[in-house]
Amino acid sequence: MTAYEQHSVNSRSKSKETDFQPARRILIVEDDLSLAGFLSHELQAQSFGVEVVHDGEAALQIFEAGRQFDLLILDLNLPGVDGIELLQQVRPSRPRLPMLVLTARSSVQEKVQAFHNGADDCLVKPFSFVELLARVRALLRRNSGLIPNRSQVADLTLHREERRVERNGRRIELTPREFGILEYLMRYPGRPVSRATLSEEVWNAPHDPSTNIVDVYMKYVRDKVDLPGERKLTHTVRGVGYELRDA
Amino acid sequence: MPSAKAVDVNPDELSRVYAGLAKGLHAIAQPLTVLRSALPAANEPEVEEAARKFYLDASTEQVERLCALFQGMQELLAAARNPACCAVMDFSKLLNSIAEVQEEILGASGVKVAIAVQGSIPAMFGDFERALHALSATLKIAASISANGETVELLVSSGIDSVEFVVQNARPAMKRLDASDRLTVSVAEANMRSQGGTYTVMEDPFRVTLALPAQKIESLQKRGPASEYSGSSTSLTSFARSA
Repeated sequence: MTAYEQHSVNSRSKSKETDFQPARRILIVEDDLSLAGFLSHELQAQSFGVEVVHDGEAALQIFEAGRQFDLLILDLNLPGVDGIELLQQVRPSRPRLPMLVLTARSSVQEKVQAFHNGADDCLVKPFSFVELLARVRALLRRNSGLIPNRSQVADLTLHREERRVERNGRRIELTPREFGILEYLMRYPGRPVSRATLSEEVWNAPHDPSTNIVDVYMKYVRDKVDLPGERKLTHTVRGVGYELRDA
Repeated sequence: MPSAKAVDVNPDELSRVYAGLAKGLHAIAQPLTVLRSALPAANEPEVEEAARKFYLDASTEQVERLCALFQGMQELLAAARNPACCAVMDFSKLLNSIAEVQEEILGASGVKVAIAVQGSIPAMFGDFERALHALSATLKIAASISANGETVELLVSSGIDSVEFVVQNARPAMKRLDASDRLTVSVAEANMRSQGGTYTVMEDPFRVTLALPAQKIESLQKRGPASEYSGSSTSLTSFARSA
């Protein structure tokens, strides 16, 4: 086990639910195992949800499966499907996904080619993690206009930055995970959201069908949002998951 | 005033060396990126002890990688610049040396190396150290991209004017060569070409063919007697102990 893997295991075992915030999810495509491990470790330490793959084919499979990420960090020099090819294949279906390209070559031509094929930013190795982090945050900030600070469904209001939820003037106290579930459902009112998506977005983990943890937490949310006598806003969509809508 | 010394290397070889060095520089960028962040992080005054240890361990790993890559680039230049010391090679001595590599690989990665000698092997003419280096490096790369318990084959046979060594793992879709593997491949290739040999790589399935010129009879007569090795079997056996 490398230093990165060992440290990540230790860090994860110490995490508690109270530390939870809905994580921005980053996919790293980097064939150098040490570098990928280090970047993943450092980004997780900054509260990002991180997934790592080491070749272009694996990244394509992830996107073809419809998985959602807030940002892609992509090494250009990959075995098999290389970075440019990956950009060409992914960009048309993900026009808003911020893509940060890494390269060990500083040739202008290569950078131009990356930008031409849809990259939003480019970093030349060896870079400092501090610079990578600044660029990641800038790209996410640039994109954050897509998710407003305030969302409303009927008389239910959610303020993301203040982490405050109110219904018809009544303050609703939610745990971090409950807030994560409601926050995600309020991004897509009137659209069913699967248990697998909630598991990935809120727990930052693949859905395990043998557990009903999403259902349990969803019940907590429902009990707090829909009090007896109030119009029902949280709905179960049979065979799919859950949906937030006004009646 | 100092003057630059011209190096007597033909343009093809020179472009191979440049390509190999480019691979080395590309490979070096990876550990440098980790080091550039891990060392300052370890020096942060508020960093916890466990985290400091993590950053220092990470830095140590990357320094080791850098040293190996630096050595690889030096070897690449040495293979291109320094003439090979070619002589009639003792095939059984070469196989005995490979047996040591075989054991090292088995101990390090659990990958077996099965050696098969097909027919009789004529004497070869080449640089023993460089041939051994190229063969060892190729076997180690093959082992590093194989799974624990798998077998890498080394097949030795004679052609019309050459002796061929094929290193292969026939399983498709193995782990791909990374940037430092590619530098190692460049060094092995330079070592083979510098003694009149060839080095051909096929990646999927992994198969590398190394060939050295066979010593011609008339040359052998001028140089004195040379041994010819006769392989006893064409099946894949763990040859080394009986060699």
